[in-house]
Amino acid sequence: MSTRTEDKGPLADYRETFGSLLSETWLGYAMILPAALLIGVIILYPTFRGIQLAFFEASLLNPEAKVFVGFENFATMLEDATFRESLWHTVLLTGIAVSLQYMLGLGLALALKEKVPGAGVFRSLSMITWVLPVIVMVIIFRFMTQSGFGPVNILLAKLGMETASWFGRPGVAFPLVVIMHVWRNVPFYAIALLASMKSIPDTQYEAARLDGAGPLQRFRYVTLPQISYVSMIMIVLHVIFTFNNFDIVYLSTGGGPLGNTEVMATYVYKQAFQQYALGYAASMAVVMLVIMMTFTVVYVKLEARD
Amino acid sequence: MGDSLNCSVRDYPMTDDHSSGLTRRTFAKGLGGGAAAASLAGCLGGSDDGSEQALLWEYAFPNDDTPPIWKDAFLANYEERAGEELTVARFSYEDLRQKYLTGARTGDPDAIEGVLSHLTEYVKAGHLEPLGDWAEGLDHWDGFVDSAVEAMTYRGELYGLPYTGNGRALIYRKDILDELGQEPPETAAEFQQLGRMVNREYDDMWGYHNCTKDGSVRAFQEWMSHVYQHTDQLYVPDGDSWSLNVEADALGQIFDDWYFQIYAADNPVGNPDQLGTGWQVNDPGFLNGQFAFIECGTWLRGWTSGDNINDSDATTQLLDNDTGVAHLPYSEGGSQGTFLEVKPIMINAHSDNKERAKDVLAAWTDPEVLTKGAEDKSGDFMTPVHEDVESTIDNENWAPFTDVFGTGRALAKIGWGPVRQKFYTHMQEVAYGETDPYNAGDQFHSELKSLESEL
Repeated sequence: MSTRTEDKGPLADYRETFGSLLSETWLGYAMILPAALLIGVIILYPTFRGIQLAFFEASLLNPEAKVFVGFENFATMLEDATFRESLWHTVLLTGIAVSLQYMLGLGLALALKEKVPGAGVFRSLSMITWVLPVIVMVIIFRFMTQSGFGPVNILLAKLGMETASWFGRPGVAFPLVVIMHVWRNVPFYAIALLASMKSIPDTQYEAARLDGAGPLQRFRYVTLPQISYVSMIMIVLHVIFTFNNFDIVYLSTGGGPLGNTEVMATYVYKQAFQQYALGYAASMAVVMLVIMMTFTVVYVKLEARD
Repeated sequence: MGDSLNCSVRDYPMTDDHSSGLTRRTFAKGLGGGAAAASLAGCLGGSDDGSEQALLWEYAFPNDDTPPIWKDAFLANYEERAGEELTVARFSYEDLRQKYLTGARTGDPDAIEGVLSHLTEYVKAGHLEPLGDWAEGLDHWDGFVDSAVEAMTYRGELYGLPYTGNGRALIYRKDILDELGQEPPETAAEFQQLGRMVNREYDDMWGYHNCTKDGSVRAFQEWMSHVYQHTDQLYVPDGDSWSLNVEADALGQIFDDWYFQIYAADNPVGNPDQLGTGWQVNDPGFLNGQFAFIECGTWLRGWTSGDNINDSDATTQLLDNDTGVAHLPYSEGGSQGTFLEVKPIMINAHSDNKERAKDVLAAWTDPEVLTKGAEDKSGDFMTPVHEDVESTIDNENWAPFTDVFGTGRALAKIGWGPVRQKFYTHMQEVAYGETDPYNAGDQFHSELKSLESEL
């Protein structure tokens, strides 16, 4: 036996030893330990600290001197009209933006799926909106809607219509924020849904056609069921992104005018960094966390049941 | 057979003479454990032996394609003092403030540049090192303007060194006023009359613009300028607390004159279509000839090119020949006064490298370096805060900035965040015509009163 081992050489011995070690569970744990600890430090600790902070009155300027107040921050929230408004705006923004993004993205994916001339180029170009930094997008939109020299207003003026700095106009600013979300994300939906559609075998469409299914029926009974998983992922992710979105609103309107575009993320930021109310801001963040977790769990369960 | 082979191979000692007892298995385990530990150490950060270069956060140096005269002079001066290089990181003031308030305890950065309201917040958060005797020992200490040093002082302790300052003034179209045969307005009533006259006489120009965007720092500063026309300080120290130092009527009057009459009145002085905009519309708007009056600091003087400027030659002509500077008009019951902007450079109280941070402050405020700054960013040095730095005012039209600077008041050392937040709400409600300015003044006054103990 020892002769055999010597024949294989020392490297082979080590290879074999490592091979046997790799099958041991403890080594697996050892390998994931750094990543697990890192996640603990970067994700879990701040989350639990945030949840803990929600039960304290704490100032950004002196976070160490905090006072335990139990559920007082949550009670304050119930009486805070701005919080209620920002929650409503957040839900509205998320609902409208994600619905529009999905519908338009689906339409675009169906169009791109057909062999339209120039579809390949369009597919590449369409991702530009998604990769564009948010600040650049906001500057473009603000410039386009600027009073006096913005292209939108120049066009409106030529048509004899009213002009304004539209981001400063109550009633218009919120739809503009929705439009920015939609403009940015529709191509991403389209590409993801298109990839999912491409994986559906053509034979299924041929079989459906032979069974007499029209375009709508083929879409309803062949395409839709097979893109549902990707759809679920896209919708869940974008509900979370939109619900938590801060930069688009903060950079374009700052939550104004007259609080018309105030969403929870901007209100939490203002409470923490302008009012210095760290504990109150944390309690609102906890509410956001609970809403998002509930949404995700319910949605995933529903999808699994289907 | 295979099992027995594996077993015997695994149990082979590592060395031929079997003397150490270290098996390949043990060695492999040790290697795996070591790798995991090394990964952890790498992930959790390396050791800090305190030998790193000092770090400065700033947002002062010009960030364009021109040669960095000021920055180079500063770095050379620092290296001469410290004998090593400095790491400089640039952030916008908003980012800089946010990062510093949440992360200063890590010890980074060692020194930080900012605006006056930052100094107050950093002091209250315990993030600033008092400069005390060290500052007074600087060769150039005696040359600092008293009011600028006073602005850096909180409860008798100096927390920063000033390097630039300006007072907000009324910037007006001299050529337009000449055409109309008018003088710069002194009171708000005269100003509104003149603004409406401009609206009547000129199709492509509005009388005035100010900032009304929610969260706009500039909007807050413009409002404070008018507050200082009614009181020396919005809040004054009252024992360990603060006391509101303005009447509700004055707040209502300011809302009326500078927001309601501008945007919400029947014959507004400003363009209501430009409600909710900030400096991005205000300053370029004047530079592109869209407004007859704005409120601004000295930085406007050198702004003749860039994405926001439609015609660089026309803007240069406008700033050189057709622009005038005057004290801000004041409402009934008010007098001359304005927002004094003094910018500090400060030391992180949690820094491990305070000696190098002091070198940063000494180099930053060295009059020779500031003189280079005046070459690079002339607008920031029209009203210098050190007597060894010459004013960059090269045009008599801009000379009144010196007088305006003299009437400026620095912000009281309170946490301004809650005040600002309430201001934006009331200001927008008035500007959008949602509420009566005097009712807003009353309500705002009572809210400011309730903040006294929290500031």
